[in-house]
Amino acid sequence: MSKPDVFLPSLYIRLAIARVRGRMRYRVGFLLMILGVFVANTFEFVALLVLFGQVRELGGWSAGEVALLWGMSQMSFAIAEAFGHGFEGLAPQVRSGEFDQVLVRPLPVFFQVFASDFQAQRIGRFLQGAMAVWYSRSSPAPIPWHASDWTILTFAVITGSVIFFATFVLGGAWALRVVDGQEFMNTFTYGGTTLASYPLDLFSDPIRRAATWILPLAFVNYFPALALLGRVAPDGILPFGLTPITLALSAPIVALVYFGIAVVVWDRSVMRYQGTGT
Amino acid sequence: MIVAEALKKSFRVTTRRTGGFSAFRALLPGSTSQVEAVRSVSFSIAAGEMVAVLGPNGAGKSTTIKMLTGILVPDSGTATTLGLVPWQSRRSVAKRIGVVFGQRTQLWWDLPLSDSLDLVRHMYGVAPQRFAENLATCRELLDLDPFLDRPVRQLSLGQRMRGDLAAALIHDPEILFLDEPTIGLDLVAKARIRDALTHLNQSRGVTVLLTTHDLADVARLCQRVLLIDHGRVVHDGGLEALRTQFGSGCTLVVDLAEPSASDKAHRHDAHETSERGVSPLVVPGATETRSEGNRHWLAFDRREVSASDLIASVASRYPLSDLTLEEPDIETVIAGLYASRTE
Repeated sequence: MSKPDVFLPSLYIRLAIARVRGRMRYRVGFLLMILGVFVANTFEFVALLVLFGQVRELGGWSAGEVALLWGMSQMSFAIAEAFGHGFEGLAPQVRSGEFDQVLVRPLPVFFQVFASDFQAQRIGRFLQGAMAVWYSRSSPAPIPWHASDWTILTFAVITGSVIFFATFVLGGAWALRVVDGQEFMNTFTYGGTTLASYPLDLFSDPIRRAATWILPLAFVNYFPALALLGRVAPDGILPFGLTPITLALSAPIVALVYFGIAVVVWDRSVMRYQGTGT
Repeated sequence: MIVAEALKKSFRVTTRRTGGFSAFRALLPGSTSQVEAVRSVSFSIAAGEMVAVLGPNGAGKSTTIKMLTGILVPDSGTATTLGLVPWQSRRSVAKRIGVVFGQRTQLWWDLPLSDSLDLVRHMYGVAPQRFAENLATCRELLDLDPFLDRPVRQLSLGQRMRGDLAAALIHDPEILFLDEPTIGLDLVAKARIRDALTHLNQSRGVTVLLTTHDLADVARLCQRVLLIDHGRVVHDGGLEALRTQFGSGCTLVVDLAEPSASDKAHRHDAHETSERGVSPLVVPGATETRSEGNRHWLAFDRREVSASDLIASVASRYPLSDLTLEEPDIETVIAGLYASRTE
């Protein structure tokens, strides 16, 4: 196969800009969309604070500590959604046959779906997440930021977005196989953020294991948050008895492995769609 | 240019689950059935040809095109497009072919058409100089100027189709695959698309393979027709030949010089005598289907009796004043063929 005479990163930017420009044609609608996402998330956050108006702690976690978890998961999810929506919205395209268009262009299929729907409006969710993180550091008393905190946070958000993105890729792969399966995949994506918004030690053992070993949500925010907060985790929750800081820093490896699996599954699903698979 | 040999493709169709928890039940193995979309399709198309693929819905036309463009992989059989196996060299083939699905668009809905064409240019890595030339050609050929700066969502169906055709031409394809390019268009819009295709085929030598339900498309554009039915090619040749092969039922319209009732010699079934006392004509190899005054319609099968023999035997029995031979029009022939497949 000949190398494409197209430089994919710049093509991605071009296609992303086209998406944003297309949406900006309805400027008011676009801004309302950002605002809508922001407000919806604010309500979610307010609901969390209301909960802590009733209880001082949730399984030993204070409002500020849960806000940190929530904020980190929102920031990661916002980035993943902004870049991964092409995969998330694949099911109707497969159903209508629009996906076939992708297969008659001289570009990698993965790239085309990836570049097909950049969603700038997800900035609303990201900002809301950032505010929650800021709140966690200022309530009840301000906690100073150290360089190491910034490192862990940045690592965690980027790694978390890769994990959520890979989940969207798996969802897209699923859509190529089971046309009706969208709701099922939403359980993992949207359900995943909800799960990751609360401390993992609140959940039962099977869910903890699943969130560590199957869909590695624990690496999105739980382990990094433990590291940031200097908390001690209950027995048996940390894999191989590693420290939270080690786990937080090894999260990128986990994310890359998970992403790699998602890409392999995706490729196989495309082949199956075309009819070469079994 | 395009060679298909014994292409076969079947789909596994899962019976759709309905009712509660369908999302979860979709995970369970369900009853599946095998549908043979393409059973055995073989043909070859030379460079510069313009070929129409006809056939009823579900005959396997689109599936065949999808295999030739690399979208689908056949279960068995082989095919080459531009000398390459399309599903093995999908991207290399994609670079040299243009594909338009009449029912969908590859244009960016919210952006001006010109922006979509520019994005397509970047996706195909077309050099600026070549893009400028091709765009100029398309603007003239498809008359894009009136709506080049309008968002695609505001275009009429005909304009959108011209836009889609332009998008498929930006990278100078050697072959154009068009799946129902004139579907839903009005007469003027259809004519424009046809003119453009004729021009592309004749002056630029683009090979065109199109599917259509519009026989006027075929009559205007294609010297060759592939009729696909039940997943097989049942006819490969000209439109006229299609008529001779499948449209053998003709009608001879006979005007008699005087009412046939006066011809006592050939009157046998008195009760069939119509209102004016005119009896049906009796001629070997033909049956009267209708009569009106002295005019009689005789249906016959050309494979059983030739028109000249029939005319001779009518003339030997009845006093003729005039006659016309009515051949079935192609629409009727095809409609008859499509109807015969309805199980």
